[in-house]
Amino acid sequence: MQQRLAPRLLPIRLNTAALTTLAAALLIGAPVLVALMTGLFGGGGDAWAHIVSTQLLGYTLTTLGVLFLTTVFILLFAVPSAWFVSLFDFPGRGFFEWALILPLAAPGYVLAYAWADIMDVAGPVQSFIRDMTGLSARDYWFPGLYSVPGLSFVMACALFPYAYLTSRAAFSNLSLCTMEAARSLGASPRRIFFNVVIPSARPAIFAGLALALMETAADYGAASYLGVQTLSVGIFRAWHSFSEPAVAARLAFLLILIAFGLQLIERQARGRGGTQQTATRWRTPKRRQLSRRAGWLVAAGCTALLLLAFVFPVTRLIWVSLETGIGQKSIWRPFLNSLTLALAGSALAFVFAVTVVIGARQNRFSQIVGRLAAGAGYAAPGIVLALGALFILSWTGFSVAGPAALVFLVWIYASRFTAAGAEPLSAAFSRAPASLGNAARSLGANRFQRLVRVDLPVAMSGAAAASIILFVEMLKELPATLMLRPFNWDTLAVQAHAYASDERLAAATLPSLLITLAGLGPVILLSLQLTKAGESRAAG
Amino acid sequence: MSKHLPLKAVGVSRVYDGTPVVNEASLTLEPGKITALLGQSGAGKSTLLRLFAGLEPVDAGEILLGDRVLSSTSTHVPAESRSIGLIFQDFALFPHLNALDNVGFGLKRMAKEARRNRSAEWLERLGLSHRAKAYPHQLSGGEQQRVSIARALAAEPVAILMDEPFSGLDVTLKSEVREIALSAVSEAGIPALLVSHDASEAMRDADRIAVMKKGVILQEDTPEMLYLKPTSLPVARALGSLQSIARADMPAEWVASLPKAETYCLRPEAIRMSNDEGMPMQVVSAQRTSTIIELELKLNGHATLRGVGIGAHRPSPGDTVKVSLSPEFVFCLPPEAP
Repeated sequence: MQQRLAPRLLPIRLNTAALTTLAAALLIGAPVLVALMTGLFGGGGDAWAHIVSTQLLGYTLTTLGVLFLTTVFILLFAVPSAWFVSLFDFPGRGFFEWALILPLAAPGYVLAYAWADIMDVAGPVQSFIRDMTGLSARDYWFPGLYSVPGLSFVMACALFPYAYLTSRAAFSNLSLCTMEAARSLGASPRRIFFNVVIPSARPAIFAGLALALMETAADYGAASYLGVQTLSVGIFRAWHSFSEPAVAARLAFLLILIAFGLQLIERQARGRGGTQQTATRWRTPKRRQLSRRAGWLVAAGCTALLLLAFVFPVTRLIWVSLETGIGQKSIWRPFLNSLTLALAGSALAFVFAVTVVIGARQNRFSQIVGRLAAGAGYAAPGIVLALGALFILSWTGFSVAGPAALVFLVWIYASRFTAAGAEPLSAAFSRAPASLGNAARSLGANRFQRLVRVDLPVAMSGAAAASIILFVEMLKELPATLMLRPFNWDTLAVQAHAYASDERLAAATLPSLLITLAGLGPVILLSLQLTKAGESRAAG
Repeated sequence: MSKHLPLKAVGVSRVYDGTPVVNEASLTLEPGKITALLGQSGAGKSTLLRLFAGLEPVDAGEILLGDRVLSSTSTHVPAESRSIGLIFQDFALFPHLNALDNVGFGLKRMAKEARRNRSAEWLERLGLSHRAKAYPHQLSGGEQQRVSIARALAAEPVAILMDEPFSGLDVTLKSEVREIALSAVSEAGIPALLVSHDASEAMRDADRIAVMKKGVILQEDTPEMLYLKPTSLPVARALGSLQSIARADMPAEWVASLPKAETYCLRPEAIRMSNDEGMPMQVVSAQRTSTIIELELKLNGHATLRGVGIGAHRPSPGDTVKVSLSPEFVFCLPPEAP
């Protein structure tokens, strides 16, 4: 039996595992760190002073306005639908339970193209109104989509499923005992809903909402298409149109603050939700049958939501695409580019995610460092990360237009989405017993053997989910790709954006539909998985 | 690796943030014997187990296998080189391996076929040969724990350490799994440690019991001796229910048969209902549990006394019954330090 000196326990033990995680964390966090530092210390010169006096307030207020209105829309869309789907029986409930997640498949900018076309003066809605009333376009007022409320509506349509999912889980986990206790104390159903149900589900609702708002703040494609001057649009313009990267970095700093703030809310809300779920003995309430009339009313509401958020816009895109002829040869190149980038990015993000998740199990230091870096990358909008990468590119002397930019783009993808991949991997570990590592040690497995024989295989059970999520997220990514891709090197998202921005919606439909189609498979899979998990929990 | 050697902790300590979690604990685990480590949550039982296993270094003292030092302040043989088997409350089965491969995980330097045969033998020994291909999530709790015991024993460990191994199982499974598991452990002839907070489990399963509190081993002996001859109040309490009665409140004829003390500690079975002779006392309450009747008796104006009775007739409150004292269940123990 070999003997060796006991390593004294220091507060931080920089062993191989910790150093590997640290290296991965630095790679993941570098772009956001660079963007932050440049924003803080880079100085903005006269251009910054000009922006401060003319546009900064506008960008900030517009962004906050969009976030506020999106919150209102999401709460209206997600909470009632989740409430009825979780706790009541009505016609089509089983279908809506999973179908209401479908809008996640289409990125916000795709919905923006479709809705802008639907609501256009020459679009189907206004044409129908004119045909029915005989009025001309000048004779009536019609809500414009090219506005803060319009963008908020589109983003809420695309992202409400985040809040729907977390609310649904919270409502399904409600304690029947709590509701019965409230009833025995004389509370009316209305009071139970507002004073018992909503407060106990609030952390979960906030968590989903914060995720959706992070995505909204990060959006560039929809905002720029609808002409809403958010911070993301401002950053892109400062960099692209005014060639003022320092100003862009300053604006990015503001956007990061908003994104990190939202992430903090999400983390805290999720933490509180977790505590609540373990604190009490739960008995899941059985679903109550709604009256015939109420049932049909709720079904109509859910149908309307699904139509607005998914069916109408996607059908419109298909319609336009078919109307103008689907054969577009130029789609293959961007398709292959998208595929290559998403595959390379997924592979790198996957390696990062495995390193972070396995590192987190080794020691506390790795856990904190890995989580911080992945969290920062995920919260930071793609546009900010791309800006960070551009700074690094220019410092290192690589050409922004050369192939190095593609390598950087893969890196940015990985930096942005490592957290999304780490989640299913870490879920695979959380399903495994906590003492696995010690069990393997007691059976003689050294650190390397434990990595190969236990940690990696356990993590791999979540690998399929992680890979699909990473791949689809990267396929949809727009702003970072737009900023970093070499000239003439288009992806599907870039091509859709370019065509749509040139008012060539017909040409933008095919890439948009391909992106949506790619997203649809994983979303249906996820949705069925979640629904099944819910059913087995209810049965148990 | 030599077998059938005692595993010893000699004056070991472990300190977290300046607080000793295990404080100069000494304990010898004899080959072929199951030693239970009994104490409440936070007593330091699991930490002492981790020190034995090598999952943590010691801050003072030594862990020895026979005469070989496994842990000291200058030496630390890592857990993976100790060949000490561990059995966990959460079973710790590898979720990506089936039952057979889980058992084979620790079998090294063996041909694939031999490893499979050995694993299959162990599964059969624990009554699980029909579940060899099942993955952990397809096994019941009891089956999972039996696989984890087979896995630990198949690796031919020099000792086996069990951390609350049966507390994750429901009552009906518990006795069945316990019987199979502990007989396999005993047959292996190696030292075994069973960490538990359940006194009745420790008394039934272990050959020896060590009672631990606040990181200190208070007393270690056979279950019988610990129950009947505790040296301190915490040990007496750890092993079973106890009531304190002041000497002044005790009937004079009972005091005569007891050693002199200010306060007496009585197990419930010290006071027994008898049919023919004894001291008459009024019943305050009487509850039948499965085998005995638990009595609360009026001792004097302000105190009551707990006792037990066996029989078909359960007295009603207000009845007078005759009770006798069994002095072997009465202890004179120094009061507990605050």
